[in-house]
Amino acid sequence: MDAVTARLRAAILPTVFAVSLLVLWQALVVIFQYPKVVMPAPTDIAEAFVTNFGTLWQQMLPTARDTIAGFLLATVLAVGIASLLSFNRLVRDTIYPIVIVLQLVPKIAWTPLFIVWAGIGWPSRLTIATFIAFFPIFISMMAGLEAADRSLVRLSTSLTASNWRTFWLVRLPASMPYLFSGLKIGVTLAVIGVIVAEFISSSEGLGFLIQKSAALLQTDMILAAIAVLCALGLACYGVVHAGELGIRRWRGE
Amino acid sequence: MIAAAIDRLANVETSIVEMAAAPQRAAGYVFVEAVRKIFNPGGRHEVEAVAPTSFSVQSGEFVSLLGPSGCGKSTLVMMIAGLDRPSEGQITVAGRTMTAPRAETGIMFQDPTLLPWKSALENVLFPFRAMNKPVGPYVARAKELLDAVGLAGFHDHKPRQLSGGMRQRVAICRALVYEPDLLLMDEPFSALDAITRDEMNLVLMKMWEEHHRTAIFVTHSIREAVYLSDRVLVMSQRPGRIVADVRIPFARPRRLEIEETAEFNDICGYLRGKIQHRPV
Repeated sequence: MDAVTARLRAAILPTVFAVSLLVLWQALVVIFQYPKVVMPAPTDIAEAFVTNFGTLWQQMLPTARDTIAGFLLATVLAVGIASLLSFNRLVRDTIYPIVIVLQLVPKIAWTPLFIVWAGIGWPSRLTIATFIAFFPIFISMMAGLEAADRSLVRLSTSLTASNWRTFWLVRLPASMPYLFSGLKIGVTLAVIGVIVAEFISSSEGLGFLIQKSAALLQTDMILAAIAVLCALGLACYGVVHAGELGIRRWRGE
Repeated sequence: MIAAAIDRLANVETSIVEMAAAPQRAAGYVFVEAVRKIFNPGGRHEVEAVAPTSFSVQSGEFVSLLGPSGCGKSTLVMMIAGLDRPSEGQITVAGRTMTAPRAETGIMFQDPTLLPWKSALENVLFPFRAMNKPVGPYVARAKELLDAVGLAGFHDHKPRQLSGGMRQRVAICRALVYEPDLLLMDEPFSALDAITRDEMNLVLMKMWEEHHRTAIFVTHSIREAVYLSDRVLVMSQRPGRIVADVRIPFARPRRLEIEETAEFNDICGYLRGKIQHRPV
């Protein structure tokens, strides 16, 4: 099988399967006459999507804004702190275990606390998204910086490179594959963080829209909002993935 | 025939005696003085890697440290590089006591140690980047070196696109490009197959004869040591110490054919006798 056929196959197989599932779903709803409130058919959801497109788009914007801002802030903090820790063994050994312990607590549990501290506006949602996305990025970055080939580090030291030069020339480039796997997890978690925060207290965003639609028993609207959320998550993931491919191409891999 | 062989052996012995009688202190370049290395001192896993050892290497001399694996020869070279500190004694290079790496020492490790994401040329230029110097003035020299080791046309290749031997050639260029006065090589060819190894020895000889740096070469291959060196220091089992100091008489430039001569084999045989093997 040549490369083009392989790629087509990889695209066609899951698409065909997904479409079949939708058809099955539609058929089941039609045959068993489920009430729309409990289980809307795919066509109902599509209809809700089209008629409420303006609302969905408008509610998507704050969710996207908080997600992207939280993710970027988490990336800067995680990369920055991991880099600082890599310079000093003492600081690293003091702080790293605490971060690991913090990471074991379900991050969502902190959400109400952040709302108490930062209010019900966007700052609390941003904080939660940042907090939840921080850990996977930080831990991958730490692992990446420590994974740098020891002999390369030794070579750099033997050439009288400063710690900073060694970091810049050896450790940081070596950490890139690790960083990107952390970023991919981080960006999906950032979406989760924002949605959960919007569930708890918000007057805008897709999370708010889902909560409101549930209260009004607009099940088709909930699913339409989830579809938009899905697209948002995919887009964020896609941007990170494209960034990774870009860096790999630049490095000629 | 036998008499001639004995005669040659006697010559070898004589040169050893001479070495012992007249230490080259005055002309020396690298001094290793009563250096001892103990890992985990006082701990449960205390290991004496290098027993108190002294020797010197003259400027421009090619010296091999030959010994069984684990005898502390790499540890010794890492201490000369300033990457490790002796537990006792001191090491002086070019009149300076070694406490940290110096910029005028070039090092080759067992593996090529190339940046996988950089081209061959960029890897050769790495020392300047590490020392935070502009690379511009050295690009031409780096390219010349790559051409000289037979890598013309591979300047822009990434390490994974090169064979093992080609990668070590890049490493040779990288160790020479900033014109170090001392070249330390820690079993640089031990991971290569025999044919590539012969080839690398030729490349190294050619480069060394052109650049003529003081060189210390660690190996556990007797033939490699004899072929390359002006002097071979034989180290014992751990804790390592120097048990023989043999001058290799072949004229330079050396060709691989000298390995077929009786004299070459006599020296190898003599050295083999000096290496103590663990009881089988």
